[in-house]
Amino acid sequence: MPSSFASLHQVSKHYPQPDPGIINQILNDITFSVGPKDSVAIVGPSGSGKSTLLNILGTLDRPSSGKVVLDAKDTEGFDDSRLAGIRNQFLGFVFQMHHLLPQLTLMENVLLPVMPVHDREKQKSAEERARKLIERVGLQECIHRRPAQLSPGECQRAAVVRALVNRPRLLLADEPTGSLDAGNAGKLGDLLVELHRENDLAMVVVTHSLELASRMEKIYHLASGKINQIK
Amino acid sequence: MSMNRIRLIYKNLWYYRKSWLAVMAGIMVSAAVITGALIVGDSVRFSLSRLTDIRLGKVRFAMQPHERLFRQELSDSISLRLKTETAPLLVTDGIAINSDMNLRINQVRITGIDNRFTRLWNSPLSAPSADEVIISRNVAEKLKLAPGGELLIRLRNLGTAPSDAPFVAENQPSVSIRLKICAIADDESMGRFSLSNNQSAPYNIFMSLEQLASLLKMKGYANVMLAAGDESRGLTKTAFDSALKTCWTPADAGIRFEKLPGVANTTYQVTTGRIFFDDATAKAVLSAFPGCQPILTYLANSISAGNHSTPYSFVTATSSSFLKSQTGDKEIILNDWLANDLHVGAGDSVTMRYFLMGPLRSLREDSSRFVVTAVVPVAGTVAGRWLMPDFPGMTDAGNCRDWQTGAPINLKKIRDKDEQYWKDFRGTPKAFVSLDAGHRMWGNRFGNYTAFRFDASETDLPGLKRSFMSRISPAGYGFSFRPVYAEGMLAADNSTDFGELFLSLGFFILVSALLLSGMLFSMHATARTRETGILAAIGFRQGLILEVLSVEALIVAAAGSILGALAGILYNYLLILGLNTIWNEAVNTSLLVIKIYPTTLLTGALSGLVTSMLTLFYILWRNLRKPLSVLTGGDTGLPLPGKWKMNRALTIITASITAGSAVLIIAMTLFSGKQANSSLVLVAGGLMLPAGWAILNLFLPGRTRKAIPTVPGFTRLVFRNLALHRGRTVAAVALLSIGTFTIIITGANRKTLYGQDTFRSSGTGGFLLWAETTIPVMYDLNTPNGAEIFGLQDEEALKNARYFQLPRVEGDNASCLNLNQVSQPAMLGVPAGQFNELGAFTVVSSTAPVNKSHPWKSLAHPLAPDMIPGFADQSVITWGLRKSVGDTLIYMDEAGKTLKIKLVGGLNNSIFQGNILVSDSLLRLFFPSVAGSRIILVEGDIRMQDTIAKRLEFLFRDYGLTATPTAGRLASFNAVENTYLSVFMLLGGLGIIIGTVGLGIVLLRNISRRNSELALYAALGFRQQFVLRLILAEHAFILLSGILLGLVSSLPMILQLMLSGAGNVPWVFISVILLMVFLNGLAWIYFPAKKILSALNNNDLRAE
Repeated sequence: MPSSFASLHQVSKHYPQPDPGIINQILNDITFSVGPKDSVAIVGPSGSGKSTLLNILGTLDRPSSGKVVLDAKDTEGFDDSRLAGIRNQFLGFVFQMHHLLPQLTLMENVLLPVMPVHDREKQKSAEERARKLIERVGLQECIHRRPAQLSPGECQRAAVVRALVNRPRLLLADEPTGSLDAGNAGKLGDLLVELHRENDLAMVVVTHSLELASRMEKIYHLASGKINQIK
Repeated sequence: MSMNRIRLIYKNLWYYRKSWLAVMAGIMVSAAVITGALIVGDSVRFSLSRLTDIRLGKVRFAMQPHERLFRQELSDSISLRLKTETAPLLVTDGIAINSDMNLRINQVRITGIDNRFTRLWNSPLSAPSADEVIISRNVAEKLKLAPGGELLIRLRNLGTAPSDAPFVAENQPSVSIRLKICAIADDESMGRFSLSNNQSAPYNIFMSLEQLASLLKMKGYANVMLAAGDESRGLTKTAFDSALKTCWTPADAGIRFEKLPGVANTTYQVTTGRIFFDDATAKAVLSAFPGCQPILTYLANSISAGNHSTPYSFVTATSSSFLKSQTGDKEIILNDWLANDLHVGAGDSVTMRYFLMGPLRSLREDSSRFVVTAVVPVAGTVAGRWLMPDFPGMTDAGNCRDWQTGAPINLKKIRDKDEQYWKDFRGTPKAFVSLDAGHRMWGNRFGNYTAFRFDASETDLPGLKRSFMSRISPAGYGFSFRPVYAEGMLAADNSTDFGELFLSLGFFILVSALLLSGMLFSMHATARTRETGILAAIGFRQGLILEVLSVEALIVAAAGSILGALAGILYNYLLILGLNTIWNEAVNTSLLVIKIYPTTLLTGALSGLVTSMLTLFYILWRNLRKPLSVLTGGDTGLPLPGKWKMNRALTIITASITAGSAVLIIAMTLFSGKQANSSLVLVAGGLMLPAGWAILNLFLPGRTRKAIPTVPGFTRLVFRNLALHRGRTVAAVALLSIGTFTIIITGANRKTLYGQDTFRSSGTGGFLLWAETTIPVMYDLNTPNGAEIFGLQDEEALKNARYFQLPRVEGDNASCLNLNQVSQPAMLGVPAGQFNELGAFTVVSSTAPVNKSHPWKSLAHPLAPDMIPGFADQSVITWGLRKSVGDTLIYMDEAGKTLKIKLVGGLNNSIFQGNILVSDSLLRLFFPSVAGSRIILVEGDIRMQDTIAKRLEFLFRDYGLTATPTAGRLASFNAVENTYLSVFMLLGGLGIIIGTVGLGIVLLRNISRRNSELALYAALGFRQQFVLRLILAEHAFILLSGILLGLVSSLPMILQLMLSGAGNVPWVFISVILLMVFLNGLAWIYFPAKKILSALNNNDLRAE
């Protein structure tokens, strides 16, 4: 029985093509779940639909069929506002590129997810948490710097802090080390695993890196629209 | 530190300041165009109102009866009664001559004034003395005169009797006087005085009222009364009209009561200075003086019996009570002098011959036969010589040979005995007929009576006069005050809306600026797509993202709109400067001043804000509709897979509807056989533009179904690249095509004649010259008599000339030369029958009862007792009068009755612009006092055009004749429209520049986003020359597509213009414009491309 924490139920995804009769089937009847403290890696060849699966799980995309359950709630029929709320409070995202806003300082970027939170107390505690997290990842000297003044590794660490600032319960990372050199990639992998443990959160990582995947508790292989657990 | 919206928005604005500034510049241009146009509208309206103030001073009301005079004392009586300032004026037209320098102005307005007039102006000038004259500044400048100099004036003679009435001699059409210039009146001190709602400055000459009245033999009389007034003191039109009714006397109506001398009874005779009593006055006399005897005395050319004939005798038609015997319709009573001369007695027959007078003093001799019933002694007729009306040129003549009758007198026929009779009995009638016989023979449009006689005691007379006065009203004589100031202000208020006009003229800039700022914003939004995705991924609701971006856009749009509104002031300065100088032909004045109302600035800024926000908001909304996964992945600019079908379907639908509608309209126009509706054709052309964009979007080869298994060629590469950002490609083509379309359409509509000026169907009617006289020409120039009077028959150049003389009722100028709204344009009487035979001019729109094959015929008959049909230029109907064919204009006829003119036809752009055309016979029927003709259309040999014009100007120099080639007159009207079109083209040109700037931006953006692609070409071994060619080819395609689409879309309009013959398409002009657009666009492509490619050094490429 799939977990009610975060799961996909018989999810399929296809994209219509301009040429009639051709359908691009990305995911095919996938059922997949993540427990509250799981760390999961999804691996597979390029174009196998790993990022699509992660986007669907992170409510950035909707499935063509099937259900997405997050925090024991079926998200089907949720409007944009409710989905945004789930992304803001339940989920944290880390992408292959850091996607820090160039116009903001590191601290401002990290605090950006706090903006939609209306609770003043929560906002204050998020600020405190942001400082701690920044210190934790070793960026305390850089809080007033802009992304252009940071190294790629620093940027990606800042992106991780941004993903965690609202205490999410599920961290989704799409090729988080993909844009880093081996040294930085290793350090970021360590950081993710440590933060997963320290913050008591579930984590799903889409990666080509077997090194990173091997540090996760579970590993799934996605190919030809189907998913199989291999660890 | 906390993160909030304000901080985020501030950071975003600052970080993206360059692209926001570019967007803001576009918004600024659009707000400036809107605000500038609105300020022009305000400025023109304000200037016209100011001109009304300047031309009227303290004058609020004016009375200007048609061809009638009143006592100057009437003005004082009204002033006393209403306790306000009034001024009587004597106004006539004339010719001003600086004889020292041989300079002249043919159309000057000469006004006799005294200090009652100067008090109506806040002017230091006082009225001129008898030998002095004040001239307006423009007269001084044109004639190069200064105070102390001398001015020769030839002025139109005025008379109490209508000049066209039977036997009213054209005594002296004009009189001359040489006066010393005592002052020059500036615009603000009565120099611009005019009762016409027109912004162009009149040529004014002011002389002493007393001197002018004396010169015109009108001592004590005036023909215009001005009044100051203040509605708050109850001085309204009603108050003035009521005071007029109280104060006026029979003398103001031209009525004289005289006691007959040498008569036993107390007999009075009523006569009129107009010779013939009009019907209303005659009715009033007949009912006010019961038992009065009506009299109609006429001049017979001859009365003959057998071999005996008596020349030039006055004959009176009167009632039986006067004759003291019943006289039948075919019976006549002779005096013994005539009976003896003809050797006839009672029972004999006599034949009477007499002239009947038509328009332009055309004469037709008619005759009637009578049986003599009695012979009475010549001395026995009651006060016989008083029966002859007071014909000017006859009454005071010493002998018959000195008679000036307005009809030819054969001096050879006058015998000594006739001279003796004149000496002994003056105009005492030699024969009497019944009133019915008199009316049958001599009744005419001026009236059927020349006098009335009645018996009354001295004590009864005042009561009888009062009874008479109660039966007539001042309005019946055209004596009615007009609220000229209020009318002027209303005309200025409703004047040509230059705000609307310049908004239309600048519309293309507006659209271009909006498209450009939209394009820039779209690029800006695309660049921030990933940011939007990230915000969504971290939990920003779409509403919040939209809010943040919208507030940014709003701040930029507000700043752009405010700055644009301020820039609009500068734009307005330039437009007003242009209108006062190089575009002066469009406004006909150089007195336009700038008026800026804060509300206008606010309106302009808000309009700019709203239009730009709608554009920006649409782009934001469109961007945010994309799925979040696409946003986080970054936007390629390509439609999403799921949108392909819908986009394609929408594009096909758009292309089908627009192209289908265009084809349908064009087909309907071509095959309907009716006059093409140019607006519809323009719409068809306009629809071809979106059709073209849609087709381009559809066929840009970005969506191949199957991969082509060949090596891609240069062309395929070009089109693939164009298709990659098809939205941007189509937007750039759209910008250029709209610009090209606008410029071609504008150019094609420029009015030219190009040799068509001799065509009957053209706006010249095929006539050679438009001749306008200051002093009316009273004779038909096509008759031997008329030709002889003016010496036309001796002129070789005029041998084959033909003249079409048109009477005119004065009114406002409704042509495009007048910016004020006009309600009563001048009325021209046209020879409708002759125009019909000639097939002159072209009627472009009409309504019943116009027969389209013979439109002029419909003018001949009244539509109702108080309604006659009229034509006007279509542009006058639409723009000058703001009316449509089928609408009615309201005038007052000469008798003060309402005369409706139904506009039954609109002429294509003609020399008559500014006038209403009615049949000449109907015009004379309702305005019998309109004398002779002021407009003469001349037909003749075109090779002799200049000679004919010069000879006519010489022969009619005392009439102030100015002959203008009809093509030249038409060209002066066309110049106004062409000036507007020039403005439009200039602004369209600016729009094109904005369009090409857009193209340049697309190019720069494309290149900057294609660094990796360019690096790839380098890596693959392509030379830089290839890359340059590729970029040039892509953008040249955009440029050419835009120009070609604009050209193709304008073809229906060009075709319609060619087929209708309404205009001649200036191909050379259009070709030059298109070439300029192309070269300008090419420059915008080539130089930036070359520069960027050179700047992209190998390091940049390696980085990619």
